[in-house]
Amino acid sequence: MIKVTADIFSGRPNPQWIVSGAEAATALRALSQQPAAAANLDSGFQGLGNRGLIVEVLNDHSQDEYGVPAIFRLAGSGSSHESHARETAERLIAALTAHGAGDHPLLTSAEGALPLDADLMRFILGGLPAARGPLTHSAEQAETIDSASSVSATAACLIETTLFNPGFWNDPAHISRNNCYNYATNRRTDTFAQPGRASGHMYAHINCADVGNGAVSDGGTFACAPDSQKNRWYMALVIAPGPGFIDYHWYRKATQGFWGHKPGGTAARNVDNAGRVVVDPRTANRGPYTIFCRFMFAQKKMVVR
Amino acid sequence: MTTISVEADVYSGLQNPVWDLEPAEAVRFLALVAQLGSLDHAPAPAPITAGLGYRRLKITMTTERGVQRIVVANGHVFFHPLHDEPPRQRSDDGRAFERWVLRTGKEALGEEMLNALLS
Repeated sequence: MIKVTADIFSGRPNPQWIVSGAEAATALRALSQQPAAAANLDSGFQGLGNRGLIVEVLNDHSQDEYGVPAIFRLAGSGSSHESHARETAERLIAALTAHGAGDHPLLTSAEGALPLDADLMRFILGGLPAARGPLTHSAEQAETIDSASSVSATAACLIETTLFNPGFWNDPAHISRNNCYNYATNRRTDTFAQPGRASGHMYAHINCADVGNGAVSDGGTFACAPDSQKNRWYMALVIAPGPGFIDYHWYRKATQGFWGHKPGGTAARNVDNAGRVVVDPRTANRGPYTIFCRFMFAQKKMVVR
Repeated sequence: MTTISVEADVYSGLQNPVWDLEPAEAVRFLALVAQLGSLDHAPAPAPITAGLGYRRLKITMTTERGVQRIVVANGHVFFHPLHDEPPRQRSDDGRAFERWVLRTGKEALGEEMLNALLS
């Protein structure tokens, strides 16, 4: 049994309903196949308007059976699997008109609450943050390979973006276990992921070619990716060449137009070393990461570890 | 017995270098901690612990009393609370303490990286 709250209003009571039986089991089973779709309550869009669904699992055995948290946010643009989250959210929203969904003893009756009807269902569905994102954009891609190479190609590719959501990455349980590669590929694996490790072709040296090819081996691409490979995150790779300080770093473009990044196990941010918002990783203050390698794309089939 | 491990929080993609102090180094470490300056004036500015490049040293000191976490950054040493004690701060004038700790990690850091961090 699931209690669902559409986190949508500021002043009046949020709509609540109960989903039970086969519908609840189907939704939880879907989430168990993609647990990352269930986001922390404080993640995602937190402003005025539709902030997604708050889902409470009301029986212990369901939490154990399906491996989902007792309470989580769904389709609030706070997870790394928003398309999956939205599919499940739509299923739960469709259940709000079911007989008895709104008059269950576990619900607190609130004065001023909207009736659970088809109009409300359409209203909630239409405003889900996931409906606004990931957004698809065109990316002008100017590539540079290694510092010694000149600009080698320019192409316009379609990409997706999500709202900058540092809370998802800065959660104390995850912040030190995910690095710039996790952030750029939007995959919170808790493994401090390395380019090429998941595919068995980890870089041998820290340079643009080896690290970039490691990411390609994981399923990233230098070329435009087809629609079937949504979500296609737009990433940028830079290198600290040394001497002494040798490392790589990645950025990912956000819906707001700037770029976010996560320096190692520290907090995700959208500013550079000079404290300026990163509007272009090529010109950002990158400290010792002086070589801009190239832009490239994560895509659906990409796996990192 | 006191064991002390150090992490140089420096990288973004790669794992940070970590190392343990030798017993003699741990003794010296405690002596240097005792010599750190006090901060009895205005609160210290926040250390630079974010961004790209070298950020801080993260030290874990394990004693019979428990595990003490210490952060060294920007000329300050921060002692996270142990048990019910309040957090403490000390001054690391000229970053002398930080430099000494970095030198204990010569093998883990590599000579070139160590020189880069000390410069």
